[in-house]
Amino acid sequence: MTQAWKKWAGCALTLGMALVVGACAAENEPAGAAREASGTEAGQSEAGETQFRMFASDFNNSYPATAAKDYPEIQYMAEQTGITVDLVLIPHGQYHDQLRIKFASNDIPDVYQSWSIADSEPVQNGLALELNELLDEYGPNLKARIPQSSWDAVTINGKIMAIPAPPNANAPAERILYVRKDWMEKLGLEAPTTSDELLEVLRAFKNGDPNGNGEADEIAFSGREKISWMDNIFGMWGINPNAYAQHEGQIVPGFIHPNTKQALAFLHTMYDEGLLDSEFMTNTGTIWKQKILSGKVGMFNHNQTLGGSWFRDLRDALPEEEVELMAIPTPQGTGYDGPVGRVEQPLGKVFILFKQSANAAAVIKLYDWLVTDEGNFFAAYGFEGQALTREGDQLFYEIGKEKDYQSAWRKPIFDIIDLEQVDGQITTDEVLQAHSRQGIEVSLQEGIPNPVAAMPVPPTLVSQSDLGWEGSLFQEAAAKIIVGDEPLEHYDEFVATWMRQGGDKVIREATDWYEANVQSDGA
Amino acid sequence: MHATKAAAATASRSRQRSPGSAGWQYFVRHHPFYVMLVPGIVYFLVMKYMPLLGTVIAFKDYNIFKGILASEWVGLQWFHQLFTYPKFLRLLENTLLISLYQIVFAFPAPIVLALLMNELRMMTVKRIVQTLVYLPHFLSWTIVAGLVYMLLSTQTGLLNGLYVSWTGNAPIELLQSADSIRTIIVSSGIWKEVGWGTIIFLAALTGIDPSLYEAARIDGAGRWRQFLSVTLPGLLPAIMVLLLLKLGNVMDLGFEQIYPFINPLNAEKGDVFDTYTYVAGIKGGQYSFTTAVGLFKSVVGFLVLVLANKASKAATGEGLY
Repeated sequence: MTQAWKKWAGCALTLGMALVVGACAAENEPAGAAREASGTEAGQSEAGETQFRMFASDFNNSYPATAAKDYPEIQYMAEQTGITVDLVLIPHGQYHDQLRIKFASNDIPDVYQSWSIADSEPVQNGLALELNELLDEYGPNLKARIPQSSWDAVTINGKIMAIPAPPNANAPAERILYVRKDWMEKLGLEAPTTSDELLEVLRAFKNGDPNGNGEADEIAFSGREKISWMDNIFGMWGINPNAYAQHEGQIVPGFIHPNTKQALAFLHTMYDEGLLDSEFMTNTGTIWKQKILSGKVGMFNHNQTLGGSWFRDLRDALPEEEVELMAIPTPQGTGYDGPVGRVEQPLGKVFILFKQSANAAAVIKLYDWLVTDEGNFFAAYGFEGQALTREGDQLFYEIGKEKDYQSAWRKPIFDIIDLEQVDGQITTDEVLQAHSRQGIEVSLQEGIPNPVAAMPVPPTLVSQSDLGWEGSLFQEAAAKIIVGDEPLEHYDEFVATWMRQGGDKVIREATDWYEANVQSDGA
Repeated sequence: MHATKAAAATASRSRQRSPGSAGWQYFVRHHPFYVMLVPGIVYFLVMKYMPLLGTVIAFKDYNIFKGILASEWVGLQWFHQLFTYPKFLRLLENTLLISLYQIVFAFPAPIVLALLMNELRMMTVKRIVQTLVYLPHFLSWTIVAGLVYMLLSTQTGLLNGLYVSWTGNAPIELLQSADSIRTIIVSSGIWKEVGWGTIIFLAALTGIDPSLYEAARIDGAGRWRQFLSVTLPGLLPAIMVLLLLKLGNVMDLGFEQIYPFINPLNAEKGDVFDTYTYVAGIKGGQYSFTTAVGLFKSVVGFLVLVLANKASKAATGEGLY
């Protein structure tokens, strides 16, 4: 009897364990559902509120380790609007990869943040919600306050496919050249206006020992891996490799436009003379930033609104040098007289809603509140007593303090427009402000028109990623030409190979889209 | 509990029906063990075999929003695309060559290290060395890539710095050069995994019967002779099993090991199927195509494994199955 009992006890135990394992595996779903349900209940008990689920990048900011609905910012917005955002923050560096994985496992939110509708799979697959009617009903402020150029960039055949956020500071040429002004002054240099003058400035940086340590360790110009963050060097000849360009009536990828050859020749000269960071092919963002902040880099290419924060970081990193930083207009490339700089991006970000969303109206309502004076003030500056402080009747805001309160994630996701009447209430550090403003001024004076901002990725580029600007064909050809493993003529060979492997289809698809969606509207 | 009772009832009933079946009686007598087996079987079915069904997307035009079932069948289109891919031969050559270098240089490394450590007589030294050499195993590849950068960078690299200060020459470009990429991949792999690899061989070494050594010593064998006639033959089964498993993975180099080192200047000699799958699959969203690549790799690996197993059985009598 005892024998039998033991045996049965063993069985029961095993079975019990199996059940526990099974239960654990199954728990995810009911728990998730329960959480959502309880969230809704809690919300309803407060103010009959609604909620929606949203995926967004964390933009490399830290955030509290609690559920999003417990963030004070989310709670404040819920108090103001009756809408709770079930926000899912995804690491910035893996944002697109993680999104794909979530969508593939059928984890579909009500809305997600992106940078353009052009590469949005939901939009291409007809799963994105058309917003025209919802905006008419719930989004009067959105319609009034977001500029038309931004709406145009998210509109396909009259259908608005996303809530657009205009580019930062409404300056669509979002990348500019920054230069160490103190180095230029020390060496008695003027801001370059042509590519040849630029070369002279870089040569002086390299050989004139502007950092004064007696060694020629200066990096005159630094870029990053994938030939990125050198856009304004290419931009001296009116093209960016990672954007499209018009050439002989066709829409071609920037790196196929013949002017690329001149830019590559220029970069080769830079590399050859040691003016270009010799590690430009391996520099990650972190290493690149470290090099700049260690005071070795004379010139670099970055976003138009970051002049203030770059200056602050440099000043803090190099207290014994009298650092001065300024933005310079993109010089004019030799033999080229068209527009220069960065190909304009009429969008900073977009928010794409799914057709199946039951809470679409709530999304529109919340974002409509976020572009009101009151909503935008909160989105831009957060709670008083944190990064925003009051002295007498003046309000001070210090963006660097946001991270002390783990609130820096708020701004990039919810602060979608710049309003003068809002920003005018704030007194900021005037020196930093002046640096940011100078960069924006420079950016507003230049830029290359972008007729195909809303164009989806041509299908051939989707199936043959090699043909893209990050693809191996261009990257390898360009890298070899720049370091001199191949002569400049290799570029023609590359273009021929690119065409043969399917590039001609890319050009045709892009041109067809342009003719059907842009030219027909204009004509 | 209900299920168990019901099963027991069925069991007793069928026992009445076929009292003569010896196999059934054996099963009934030892049924607790079979019940204990169930979680393991369920685990393998759910975690290992069910995902295999997903391989069908290699023959479909998989769209993440349509799901596996609703996506269209496209036959062998993706395999055709793979074999006509202009860089297919380059990927194959790089994959096989790096794999070959790994088998020639990286595979014997832990064996040699284990044999050397086996000859150590001071236990403390052996323990310390063993712990130190297997620590790098716990670093991620991203960190290893960072360390390699800190060693080899032309601007800040330690090794390049020493080279420049000793010889006065210009620093050697290793990270942006196609000629050095394979060496970097294989040698950083050895550094990271050699210590960890010794564990299994050290375990096999302790399994060798000490009386064999005694017998050899009585017969007058020196250290070298003992090594050749006792240690090495004793280690051979473990070596063969691991070599066969390695051969089965001849096409899998591990994406995370190689990707951090690849840039356009060395891609022509460092690009392999795993990095290409990542770029096309995760970055380009071509799930079907990359599944086809994965399936192709697995089939090749499987064939190599079967052939190598046969060869090994014929030559040494050792095999996996």
